[in-house]
Amino acid sequence: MARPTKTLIIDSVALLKVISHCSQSSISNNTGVLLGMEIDDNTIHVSSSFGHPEKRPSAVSRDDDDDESGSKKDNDGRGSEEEEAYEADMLRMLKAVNTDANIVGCYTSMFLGTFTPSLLSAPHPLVLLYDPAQSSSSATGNIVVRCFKLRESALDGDSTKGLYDEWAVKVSNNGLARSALYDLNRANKAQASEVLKNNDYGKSGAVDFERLDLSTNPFVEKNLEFLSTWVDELVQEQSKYSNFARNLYKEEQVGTKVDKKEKWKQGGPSRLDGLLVGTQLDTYCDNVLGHGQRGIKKTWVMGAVSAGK
Amino acid sequence: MLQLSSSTSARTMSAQIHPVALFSILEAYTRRSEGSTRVIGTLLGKYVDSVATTDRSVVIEGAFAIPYYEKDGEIGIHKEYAEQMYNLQKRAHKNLRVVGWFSTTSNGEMIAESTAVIQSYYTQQCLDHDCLHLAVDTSLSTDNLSLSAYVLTPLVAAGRSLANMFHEIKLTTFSSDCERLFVDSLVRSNNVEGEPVDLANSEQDNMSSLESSMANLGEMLDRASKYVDDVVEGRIEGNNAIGRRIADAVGNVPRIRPEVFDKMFNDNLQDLLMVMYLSNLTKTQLTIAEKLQESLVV
Repeated sequence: MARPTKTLIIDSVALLKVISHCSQSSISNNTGVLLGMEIDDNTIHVSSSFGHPEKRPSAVSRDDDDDESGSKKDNDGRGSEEEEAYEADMLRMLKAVNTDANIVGCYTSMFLGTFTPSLLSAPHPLVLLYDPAQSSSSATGNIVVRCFKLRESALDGDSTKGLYDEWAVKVSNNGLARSALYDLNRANKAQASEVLKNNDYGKSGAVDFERLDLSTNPFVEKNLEFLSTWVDELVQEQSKYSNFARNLYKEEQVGTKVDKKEKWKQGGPSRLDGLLVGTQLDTYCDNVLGHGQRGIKKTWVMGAVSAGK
Repeated sequence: MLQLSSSTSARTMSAQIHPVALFSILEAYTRRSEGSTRVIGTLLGKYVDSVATTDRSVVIEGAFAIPYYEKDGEIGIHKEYAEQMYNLQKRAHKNLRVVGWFSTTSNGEMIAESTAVIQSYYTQQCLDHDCLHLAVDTSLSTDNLSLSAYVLTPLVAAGRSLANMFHEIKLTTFSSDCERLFVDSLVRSNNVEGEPVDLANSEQDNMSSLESSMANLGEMLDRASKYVDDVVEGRIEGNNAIGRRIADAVGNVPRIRPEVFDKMFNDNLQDLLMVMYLSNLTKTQLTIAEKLQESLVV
């Protein structure tokens, strides 16, 4: 994938807030707003964020493609008014304490790479995606966060060049935050004897050992579950395709003159869905592969440790 | 940041603060209005009572600043703002309650005269649960950013309570899984002053984080064994508590017979390889399916 040229600089405060808000419930969709300012065409600085209140529970239980039915839209309609009022209130309060009160985008949480695109109807073109499930230390060991912005051409209805631009995400800290980080870092690197003297130096210390955990099941299971559901959809798409092609062929057999290209353009099922599903499946497979690679490494380490005894 | 507790009360209180709250406080301080030397605000979080003892722990999960005005040494806080903001925050984060308040000091003075007044207001807000006061020293005059947490305890003499005293309690930082990862990656990045850190998600990054964890583990083992060697050879005086803990840690490693271990090792390896093979197979099938589809289109 091409390296994104535009940058979103986000303060660590704002990202920490997003993380803690999205970690509250792993399954449901947590959304919120990003505040900051545009520095120039290629850079946006986010200095703060806050979350939306939880939506009233809708009738939809799974976040699938085919759920954009009327009932969901109704809930969204009521929900977005409530959200707008909430946003206006929060902005007013934050302005009183000198926080940037300028909305530059919104954020939403994903689950293993999928999310409901209901947020796309919101008027904010910039969206930050955070995946709490993949960001746990047993999964990838890294924070997974991506940022996309609607292209201006797409706003005019022109979707040939692609709808979204990906922006690179960079985290910045102000001076005080950096000193706090030094402190936290020092707790990490404390000498062994000192550490044991002060009983808890806090769990922010040497705790990336959870990454070395060998358990594989939950992450892999979830991925495989999604994989199998989407495979069904892919099969559906493909059958639609082949049916159309078969009908066309039959017509040709019968003898009527058929201009194939015209027919495809008029009635052919769009390849977009099939392509999307295929790419999604690809991603899941990649996740499983990456996980497997890490697992193999860890297993070898375990072997080495016990061999050394 | 770590303070030892010298509590003699029947119930031990301790406090844990999430990095979110800490960073929010620092951010609020950076954005304070011109002319003010400090910021005051509300702490949000929850109380955790331990089951066995009567210890109570206050977990601070969030913080927000409130406007206040200071005139001739008297402080007044905007109460309506505090309540409104709390209600708004509660809608987004359902389990948060007011657990106390914070203020920053720039002259090293942790408790000022105005503190008691604000404390009494907040004690009301906490609905008469324990109200925590967090003082953050932002002057950076010492080597670290010092945080201290205080609770109000009554001074009782001859059965009558004379006054209330601010009593310091143990404060530790506590982060959830993801917060820890994030802070870790920030700390590890060694960035140049002022330049933002890139949170790249490349494959190399995944591997490198794993490698750094393993390197960390190796380093810790080295340090521990060096310490034991030193004590045995008499270079350092041994500390019984440390020795016991090391013995515990070593004892935690399960002793398995080699054959059993080999079998486990191979099984694990084979499982992972099989899963990887299957997902590779799926990917290949997907590519083939796409190619076939393409060929259908005229």
